[in-house]
Amino acid sequence: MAIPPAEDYLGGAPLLWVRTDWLQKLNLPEPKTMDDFLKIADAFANQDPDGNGKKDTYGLAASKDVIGGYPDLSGFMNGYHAYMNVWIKDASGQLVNGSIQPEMKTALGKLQELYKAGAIDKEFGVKDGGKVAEMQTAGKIGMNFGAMWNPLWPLQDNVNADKNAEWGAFPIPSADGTPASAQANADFNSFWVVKKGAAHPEAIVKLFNLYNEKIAGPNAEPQTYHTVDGMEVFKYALMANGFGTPQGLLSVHKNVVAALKSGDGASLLPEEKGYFDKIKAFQGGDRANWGTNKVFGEGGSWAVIGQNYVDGGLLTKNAYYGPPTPGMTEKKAILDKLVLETFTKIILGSPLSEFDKFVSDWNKLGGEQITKEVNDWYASQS
Amino acid sequence: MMRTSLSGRLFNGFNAVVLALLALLCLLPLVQVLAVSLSSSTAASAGAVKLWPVDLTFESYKFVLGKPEFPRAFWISLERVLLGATINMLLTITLAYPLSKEPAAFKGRTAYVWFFVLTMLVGGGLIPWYLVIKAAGLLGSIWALVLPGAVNVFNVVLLLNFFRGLPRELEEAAFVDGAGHWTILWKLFVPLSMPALATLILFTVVGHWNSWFDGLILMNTPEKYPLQSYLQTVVINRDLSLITMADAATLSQVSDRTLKGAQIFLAALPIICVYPFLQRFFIKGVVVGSVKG
Amino acid sequence: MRFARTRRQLPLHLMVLPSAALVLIFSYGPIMGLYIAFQKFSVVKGMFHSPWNGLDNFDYMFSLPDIWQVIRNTLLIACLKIVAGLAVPIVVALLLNELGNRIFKRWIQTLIYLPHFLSWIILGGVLIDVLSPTSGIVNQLLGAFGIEPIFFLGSVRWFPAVLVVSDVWKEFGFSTIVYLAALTGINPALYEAAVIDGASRWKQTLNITLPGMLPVIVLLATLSLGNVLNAGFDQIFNLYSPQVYESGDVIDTLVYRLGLEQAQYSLATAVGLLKSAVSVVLISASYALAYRLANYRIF
Repeated sequence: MAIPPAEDYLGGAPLLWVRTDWLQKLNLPEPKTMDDFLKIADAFANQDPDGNGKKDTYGLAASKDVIGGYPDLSGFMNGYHAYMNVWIKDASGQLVNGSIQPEMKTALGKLQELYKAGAIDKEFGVKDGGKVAEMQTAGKIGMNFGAMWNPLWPLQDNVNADKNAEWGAFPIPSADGTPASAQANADFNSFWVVKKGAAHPEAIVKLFNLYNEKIAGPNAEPQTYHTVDGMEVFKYALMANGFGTPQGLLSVHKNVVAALKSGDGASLLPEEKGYFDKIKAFQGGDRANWGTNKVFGEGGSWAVIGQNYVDGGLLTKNAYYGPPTPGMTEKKAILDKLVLETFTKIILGSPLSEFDKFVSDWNKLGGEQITKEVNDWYASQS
Repeated sequence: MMRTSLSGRLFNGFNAVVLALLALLCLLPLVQVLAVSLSSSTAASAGAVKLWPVDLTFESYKFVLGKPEFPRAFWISLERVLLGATINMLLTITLAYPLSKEPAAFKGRTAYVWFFVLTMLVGGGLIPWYLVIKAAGLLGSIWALVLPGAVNVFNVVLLLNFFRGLPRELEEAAFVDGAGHWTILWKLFVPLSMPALATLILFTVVGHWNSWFDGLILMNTPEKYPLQSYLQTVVINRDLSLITMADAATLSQVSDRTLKGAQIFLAALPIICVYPFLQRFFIKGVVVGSVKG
Repeated sequence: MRFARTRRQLPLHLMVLPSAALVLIFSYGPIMGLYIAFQKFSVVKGMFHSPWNGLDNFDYMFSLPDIWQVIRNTLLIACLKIVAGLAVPIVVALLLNELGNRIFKRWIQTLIYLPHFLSWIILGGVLIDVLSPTSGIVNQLLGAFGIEPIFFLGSVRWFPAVLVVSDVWKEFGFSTIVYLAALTGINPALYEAAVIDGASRWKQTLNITLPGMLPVIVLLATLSLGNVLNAGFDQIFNLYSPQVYESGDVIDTLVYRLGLEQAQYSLATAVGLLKSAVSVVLISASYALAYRLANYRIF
């Protein structure tokens, strides 16, 4: 038996981040639909939003990894109802892989257009997230898709560098009448296991409880157990990453916002109080805490996630959350390589017809086998 | 004294220019790293630093040097380098000498050589290596950083080749005078091999000073980390797909680019100071004088 | 008579002893671990209880769809690096040898060793900037000659070249030092005699300097053969991208990605074993050739 770590599905869901000061400068509306988005991307690339007379800005951030916490193109794809590397239910109720669906072909086609039009950096295919962050910090990119923590990094750096910079968090715009649903992965890459025949198997649950108690519970002593002298000691606990805050960061956000409204932070949990104080500092003019406000404060990441993804039911979770199947162990790395190579080539300009060949290759190289294994697992779940 | 011809002088000039350019090409990136380490984190994150610091600040160095762990790790590294380099050199010298002999003069020499050379080409992998060191009871001890790599076969092979280049007559004369192998090695071969030995000392010292992976794996508590291992832990691991909430918060406060820059510079600094000193030993003609008689 | 000889050689055996003992424990000990290459290794079960797999790991490796492309890339990149990695330090050592000014020479010697200290993580970022088709220095220089910008890091054609040149740049200082040390061992009387005979500097280089360096050159060449399947994981990992997998993906990077799924120690060990086997064969062959043809023992 294995206990998975308590993962926050929402922590990785993509949001759309936009330079709102550039929107104002160019007189553009906020992105409600994908059409709005495409117009904005084009404008950011061609209408010199930073006003320096040079055509050196881009509309959308992209890196060689294509998807990830930052920068993330999966958000863009979600706008076309395409889901990269995620297992979704098709019309007949079976599980299929989002990477080979026709919607993905459409999304890639649009990305290709953006690339051709100069809205995406020509060199994105060789840059990693760090390099792209440099450009964004330097004020060269106007939008990116990414996770809820983006304001803390890299957006905070840009805010530090440019006192006029302002970023807004938006839900993913949709390309048609159906609202876009953000993809969410619960990445179970570690499990807590107890050896068979161990003398005290219940010790692990006791440790979990102790951890909870000392850090997040009512009698918590965060000064000793959470962060000491700026060093996050809780990370070194045996049970680190085993347990997040009880109801996830969404509830943290709600508590913090409520406390900000009422002006009283006394009843907050220690972690929440920390954020509360930082936001108060920001409101007092300290721009160094802009990021915390953008994540936990009003109108920030969690506000968007709460109102749209959670309340609106617009979250598409990875339908497969079991351990790697035998097929995955053998073939997933190869399939991942194929997906990355093909998607990159298409965005760079290869004919869209290559996508069809890619689908058949993907199936041949093991995708078909894995799909069957995934569906077997799925059937056994119900 | 032959007068240098025009073509000779042209060549000299050209040569000097080419070499100077090459050296500059090698120097520039390190200068840039130094500049980044002395710049503000915002400037560094924006990639705005070229060859001169932007918003000069010593924050990163203060951060790295200020922590009490730094001097402690520094001394451990120093201890490791002294211990490790000494043992390394001793073993290299005493092993290169017998292996440099002809098979006639040393039966089994070729078998020995292959015994050692094979280990350069074949390895069991990380896990078995770790298990052996653990079984030897060395985990957490400074000997774990010194003993497993104590015999550097590459250095031994280099040195034995140098030994082979020494004139045979010297050794024979010494034997006639009644000297034994040990005396010949230390009184004769070693003084004559200073360039080679200086080279090897440099490589060994650099190797020990820079190595960080073994320190991380073999030292079971952070207090025992040598300098480079410690510096590795200072810089945040940035696998963006695995980033947690807390990591993101820390990243926003300290730029890992400036930290990495400081880390690299601190790593290179002692070597830059030591190397020119070692160059005294690269002297020509030491061998010849002794043969003439 | 036998005893006398053994007694005379005893000090030599004794000198070898401490090193042999250390090597036996710390190098041959782990080699026993190659056993893992033939198992279906599971970390939980450990070395002694994981099931025997025979040659399955090797079968799996060769059945990977891109394996031959990856092997080809590895060989190409590694061979280019070996050749360039030999040629450049030799030339630089020769040029340095011609310098009259001692201080200048010392400075150059120190400076060329510096790139060795930079990590590929940093250099990756530097190279992206320097080689950028829009703003990089290299392309700006090319532009001055009327050449179109080249997207070095994104081009399947140019990527191996970038790998070789940047690697040589980083490590040539090391070999140059070795060659310089070798040069000090050449008898100055030879040069004096040559000058009296009226030989030009070029002739001196050809007939005295190079032959004097030959043993070390052959040695370094042979030892680098051991690296023919190591194209340089650290460097490639930091510089490559899906755009250039076709010519940049090598054995080690492929195995690394495979390992991400489920700590595939068996596969990694099997690949390591194969690489070692190839190295041993190549080096033994070189040693045998040098001995038979030139009566020269490399080591």
